[in-house]
Amino acid sequence: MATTTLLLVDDSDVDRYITQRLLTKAGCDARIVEVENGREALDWLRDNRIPADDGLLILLDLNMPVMGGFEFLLEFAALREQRVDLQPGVVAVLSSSNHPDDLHRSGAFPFVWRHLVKMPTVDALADIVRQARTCTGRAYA
Amino acid sequence: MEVAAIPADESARLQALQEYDTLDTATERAYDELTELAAAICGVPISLISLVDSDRQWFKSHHGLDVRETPRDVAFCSHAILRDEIFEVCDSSADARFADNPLVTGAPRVIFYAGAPLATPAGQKVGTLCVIDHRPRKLDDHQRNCLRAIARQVVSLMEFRKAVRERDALAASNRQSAAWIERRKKELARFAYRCSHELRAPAIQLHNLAKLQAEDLTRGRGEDLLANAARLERISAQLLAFIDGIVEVGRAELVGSATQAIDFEQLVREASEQASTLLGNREVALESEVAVTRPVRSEYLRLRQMLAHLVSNGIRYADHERPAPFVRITVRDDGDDAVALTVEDNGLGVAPEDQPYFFDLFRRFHPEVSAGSGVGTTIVRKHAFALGAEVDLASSRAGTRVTVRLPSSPEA
Repeated sequence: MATTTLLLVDDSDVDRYITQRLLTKAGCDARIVEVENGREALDWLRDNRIPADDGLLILLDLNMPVMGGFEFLLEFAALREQRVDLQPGVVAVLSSSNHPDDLHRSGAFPFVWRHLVKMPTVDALADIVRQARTCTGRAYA
Repeated sequence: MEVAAIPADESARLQALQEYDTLDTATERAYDELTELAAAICGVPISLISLVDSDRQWFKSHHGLDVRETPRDVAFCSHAILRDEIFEVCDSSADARFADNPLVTGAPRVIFYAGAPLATPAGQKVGTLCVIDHRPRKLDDHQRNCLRAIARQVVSLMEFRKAVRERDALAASNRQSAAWIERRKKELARFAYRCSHELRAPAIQLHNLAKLQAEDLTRGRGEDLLANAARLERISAQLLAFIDGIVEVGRAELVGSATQAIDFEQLVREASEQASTLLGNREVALESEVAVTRPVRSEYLRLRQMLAHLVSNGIRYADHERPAPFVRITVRDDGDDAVALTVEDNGLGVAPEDQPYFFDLFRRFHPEVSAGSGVGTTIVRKHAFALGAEVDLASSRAGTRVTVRLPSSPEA
């Protein structure tokens, strides 16, 4: 059976830990990869291929050192053009900001699926993981 | 020829003249009408509004005469401003004080002169309204009354123009204050937003970790419980430091103290002590060198806070991979009119792309190292602004150097 890769991009080790625990409670069986910023996320995506039929869900913090969430989204949009395997991939922003500007900027990318304000409920996470498994991003592209 | 004495209140008189801001301005109809009136009433060809400057008399209005100014020492008006009453010379060719005056022997042949002093409300006589003829004459009482009245009108006109200028300046300064308040309001709104944002993140973490701990306890997972307790402790310590930081930023606005002569030795010693409470058992060498010959008057408390923050940052972001981490404070004369206070370290440095944000509130560039509250450099900038100092940042992988240029006081 196809699996989902969940790329957890957050500079806060505590937030990554809490998110992991919430994902476990949500019954998430995805393969979870943790990175600390947008740069590391891009590096991982360049080094790894997503098998056909597998899902890719990126949980993305916005405010991070080295490379923040918005810069990552720009780079990811370009990378996605060249990589068929990344096209089903979707992004859910997971940040402590609920500033309208941030919602607007991240919402401008078609593959950005949701904007979750930290910390989401277990149900909200379960919902996202389930949808990422059953849907391909093409429906949203 | 007799040169007129300098009035006893000369400097106050010149000051009053300056304040009218009328010297070397264009002719104006309102003044020209008054000299025309004076000439007509007195039946003379020439009437002048003469302002007596330090070494010349200058005519705001010159009815019947093309000249705009003459030297003060030949001026009849220099005599007229020494008196409260009208100064009248009926026939200067027969008057020992003026007979050989070049204005009498040559053009414009001032044979008759009568000048009413232009006295300010405070009593300074800044010039005259005068009438001149090329032949001898004498004013009657009616003409003298009119000359005095017109002289008062000239002063009223200058007072009016001055009041308008002052009102305009006040309005401009009010507009500036309003713009300043507007700017501060925006800054405050941004500050409140940043604060709430920065407080939210750890509060959410605490909230979630507490819930996870309850779960750990019911499931009997002691190791997770302990690990989460350690996380709680770390986050709450950061939160406390952050709250202290906010309070300190607020105080930095208010710290304003009287300026005093700065003892740099004392300043460096006290700021180092304040900062080295941070040192703990970390191996960072604190060095200092003070070589200042110039006097500086400034606000001591602001300087000490500023220096303490810079030194704390040097200690906090020391590179412990390096053999001999140091923070060095130097104070030296800089250029002709400043003293440079430099804090230099061989620490982690600030990446070029982060440097534009060096002084921004709540920016932390080494989150893996720091429990900093992100307010230090903001406080440094606030103080520098208040003290009229310039702050320069130079940073690379070899370390960071922050230089504060303080204006020095003129030599006593």
